[in-house]
Amino acid sequence: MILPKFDYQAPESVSAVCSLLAQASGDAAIMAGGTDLVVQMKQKTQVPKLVVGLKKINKLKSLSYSKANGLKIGPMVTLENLATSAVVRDHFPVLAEAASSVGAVQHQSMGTVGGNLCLDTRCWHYNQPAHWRHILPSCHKLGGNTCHTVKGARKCYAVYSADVGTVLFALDARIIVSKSRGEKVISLEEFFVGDGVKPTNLQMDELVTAIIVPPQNPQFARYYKLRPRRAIDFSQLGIVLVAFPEKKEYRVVFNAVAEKPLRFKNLEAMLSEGEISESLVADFTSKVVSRIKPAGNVSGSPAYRRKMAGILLRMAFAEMGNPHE
Amino acid sequence: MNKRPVTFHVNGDEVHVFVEPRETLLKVLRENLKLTGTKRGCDVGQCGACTVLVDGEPTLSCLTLAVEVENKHILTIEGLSEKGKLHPLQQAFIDEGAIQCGFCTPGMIMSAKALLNHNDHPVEEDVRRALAGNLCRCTGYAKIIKAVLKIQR
Repeated sequence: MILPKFDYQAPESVSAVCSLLAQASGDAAIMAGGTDLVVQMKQKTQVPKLVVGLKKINKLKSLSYSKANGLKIGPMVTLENLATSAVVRDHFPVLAEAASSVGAVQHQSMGTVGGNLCLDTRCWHYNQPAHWRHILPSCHKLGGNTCHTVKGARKCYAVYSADVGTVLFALDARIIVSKSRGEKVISLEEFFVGDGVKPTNLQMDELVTAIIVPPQNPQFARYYKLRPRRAIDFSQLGIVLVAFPEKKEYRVVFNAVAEKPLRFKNLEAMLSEGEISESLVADFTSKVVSRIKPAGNVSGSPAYRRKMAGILLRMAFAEMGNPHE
Repeated sequence: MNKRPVTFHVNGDEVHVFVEPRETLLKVLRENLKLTGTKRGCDVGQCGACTVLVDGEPTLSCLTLAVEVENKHILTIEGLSEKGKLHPLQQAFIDEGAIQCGFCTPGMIMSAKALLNHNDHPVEEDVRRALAGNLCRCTGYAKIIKAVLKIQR
């Protein structure tokens, strides 16, 4: 497949990136690892006039940890670097687990943490070659006003399925966003807006320049991923369980069932009320699973994915109960 | 339109090409440099047939822009043999019958090479993981894994 024509620039500073993005007024794309962007450009779902490469900015590739501030990850740290970093494996093994679950080794050595976090939402009807898509009228995500997944829907149901992004969300990560003038720190709760068309509130002249994972010491943290094959495929469903039993705090976040990572804080509260028992977990699971409503736009039927959500969640709690088994 | 000079190393040789930003490393290797050992399979990063090593890391050349490999060292299947003698991985693939139609073979061997760069003594699980991104539609996986495991013995 031939890529559409575009200009390419690779500045050496963040400010130069932001001013290029600002000048392009929305007609630019940021290239991190390229494993998603190049495919989208080949399929012409993204046709930017300018591609801004980040490979020459060394400070975006740094990874550091301190007891006081936690983990600071540059967006250009590759998934492989994250998965194999000793400091990540020691302090946030769940992040390493998520990174090593993305695609195959080639995707992990090319793909980056920033790229995964900012991964575009996906849908069977959208992520297709141009000649295939043109059979149907344009959907919401393509600028039209129809949805081929949920008939009659007035919004886009494209699904957010980034594994590392969802685990970062569960770890209450914050991000530093730079723009032409200055920078800001925002939580991932603010970052993900839940819009299938444009899943984050990143503005056209903004760039994520660091991801900060606050220090924390969960007794149990795992990521469970459902997919057709163990390599290549995007998530059909993902579940993160981060547990602090001594604080009676349990975070459960779902990936690939909605337009953003899903967490039900009000339901998590019921886990804090008593001892974690099989019946409490069963009660929690049935309540949570009834709240998730995956659309039929990735492989695996919605019914199958919901059923698996319950199974994986019970499995997660069972493992938490016996973390040494 | 919009062409620019890019310099990088392929199999130890410095090469200078004049490319548009939209040209992929795969296209430049196959069409500009006539190194057709690297195969174009799915062209969207799912099959691994186009795998080459960029600075030692397994990389899908169909998803890599040629302008992004400036100054980098690329290793393709053509760069493995030395003085007419096949690389042990290539020989092992022949000896074990790990080649059927041969289309996935260059990508398989480059992914295996990347594994052996990092890991002298991989076990079967390591090999399976390293090759998971390479599809063989002849489904000759068992022999391919056997061939890679043979190298370290």
